[in-house]
Amino acid sequence: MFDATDLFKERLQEHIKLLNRYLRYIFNGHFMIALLFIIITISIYYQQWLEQLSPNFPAALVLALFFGFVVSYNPIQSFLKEPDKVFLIVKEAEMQKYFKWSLVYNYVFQLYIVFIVSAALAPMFMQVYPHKTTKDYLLIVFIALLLKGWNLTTNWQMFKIEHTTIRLFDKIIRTLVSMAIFYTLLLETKFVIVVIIFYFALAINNYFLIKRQSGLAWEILIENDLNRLASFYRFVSMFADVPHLSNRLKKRPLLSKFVNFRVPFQHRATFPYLYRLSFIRSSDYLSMYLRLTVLGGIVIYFVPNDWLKLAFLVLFLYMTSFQMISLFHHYRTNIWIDLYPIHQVERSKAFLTFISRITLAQTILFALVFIALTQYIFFLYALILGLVFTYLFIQLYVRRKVEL
Amino acid sequence: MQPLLDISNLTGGYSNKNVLHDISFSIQSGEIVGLIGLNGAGKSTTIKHIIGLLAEKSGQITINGKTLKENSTSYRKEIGYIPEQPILYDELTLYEHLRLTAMAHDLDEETFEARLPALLEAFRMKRQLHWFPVHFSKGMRQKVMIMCAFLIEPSLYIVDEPFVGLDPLGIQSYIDWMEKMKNNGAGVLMSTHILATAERYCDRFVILHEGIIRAQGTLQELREQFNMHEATLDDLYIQLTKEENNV
Repeated sequence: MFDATDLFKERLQEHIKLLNRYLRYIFNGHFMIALLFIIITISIYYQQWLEQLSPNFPAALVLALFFGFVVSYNPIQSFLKEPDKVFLIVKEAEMQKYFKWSLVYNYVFQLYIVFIVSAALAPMFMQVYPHKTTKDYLLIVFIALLLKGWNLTTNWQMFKIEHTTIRLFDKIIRTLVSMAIFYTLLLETKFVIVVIIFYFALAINNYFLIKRQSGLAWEILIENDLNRLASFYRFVSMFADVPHLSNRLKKRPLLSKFVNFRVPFQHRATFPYLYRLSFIRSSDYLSMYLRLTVLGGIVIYFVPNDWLKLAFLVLFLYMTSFQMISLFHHYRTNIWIDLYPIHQVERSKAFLTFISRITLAQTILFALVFIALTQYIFFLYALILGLVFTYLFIQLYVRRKVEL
Repeated sequence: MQPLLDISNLTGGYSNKNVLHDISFSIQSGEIVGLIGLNGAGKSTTIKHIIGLLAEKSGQITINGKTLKENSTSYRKEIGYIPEQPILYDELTLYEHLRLTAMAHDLDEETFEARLPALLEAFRMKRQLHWFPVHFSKGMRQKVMIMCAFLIEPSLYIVDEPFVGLDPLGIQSYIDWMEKMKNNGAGVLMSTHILATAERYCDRFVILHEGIIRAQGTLQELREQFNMHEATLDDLYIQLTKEENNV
């Protein structure tokens, strides 16, 4: 007998197993320390910033934007698989139960965003509305929970519509209306009623749109699920090797042409050549490097304390070069690198040179941020600190990791 | 005359399981030797020992008098290896595979540029020069391996089942190049199941069965050993396995 509830349980367990395995990679010691450091810094400055908040600050707008976004952002994961459209399509009627369960799961799972955002915004609310009580705030959170449930269900229903533009358009309008609801609610205007009526009109319109469609759009659902999974893997791949992602290749023709042109045609350039091309093309090395460089640059630019800027400089250098170590192991299943008539030492040496260079390049980029801030002394400090870090980290840590 | 490849009393295999027992044979320059045997006979293990992926437990392998232990770099330089399953870098184009191989084997750029066009022509891969392996068929992947080996023109070719997956034109080009290299003085050890083809192109055969050498020699010598004149390599091979089963 086919039981949709059992099937859902099975798929959910599979998914949890997968999450478990990868989350362990993500939340390893290094990453947690970095994360904690960043969160603490942000919260300290958030607190300070709140205390000197000017009365003209459009707090209602900011709160409405955040809450509106949170209740409208409802990605749905239904754990469908490619073969389902062949095997389960005959059971579409029974599958309703399955999808009900998946909606419940998605709602409960997404609640963490609501809680994080409402916890983060609570101090701001208390600061700008001193006359309001905690109860008032909880009412807003409660409304957020309701609206989120409603939006989630609507998102689900809208999957029956195959037009991507219609779905996108509907999502954008509902997001804007949700924001408007919070905004009018916070301003306590009567206008809130108008907005809510508008929202229901929209809901009724959607209802009639959907009613005209028969059956589920399996293709869309499955594609949606695969995309969700792919973006999860992409996220994880920032922290660990993801075997499911083996075939992600970016051609990057200009950069590779440059490498082919620049690297001399010489025996000793063999591994430098291989590492450069792999860095440019395979999975995510280059994009991770650029992401962390840009992010680090922004953080260094905006963190108010100069010494803290330097601390972040080292933190980002560390995070980047730590990630890059996996480039060395990128070809561990490829026997050619063992068969080339080249000493194994050359391979480690080439890698150490390469990682030193890209870390130094990043150091210079980070140091340039201090030039942009016209902090010339700290520009020097940054360079020296980056140099010392690069030398020590690569000689003491990376070298041990890549010695064969 | 010193043999090109000399294997004497090789016993080896994986860490806790011996696959090969006391194997001895050699290859001279200008000679194509077929390594024949059923699945699991030890052909691939023999090859892994020669190219240095496995270490011998006893016995010795020398190429032009050199062992892997004494001088791994110059030992490896002698070998061009064509694996049964193509092994490619997903991130490298055909051109970059060839360039990397040439650099690794210390070819100079002029030699590389001089050898490249003829290979591309022969294996009809000119159009695919800047393609990535994801777009290659099994046969094309195999051709990449073959081209890499012929590009470096080593003194010894170690070839594991070259014919599977290649189209007839590809097989013909492979054979032409192999013969050309042989005439230039290279030696070839080729493992294969396609006995009819092996019979035509190999000068000698080494027949491996359950980790020991059951017979070796030219086709004529094998026929005499088995007392089957007129027999093809296929007949001889089937006869041999029949004998084994009767024991």
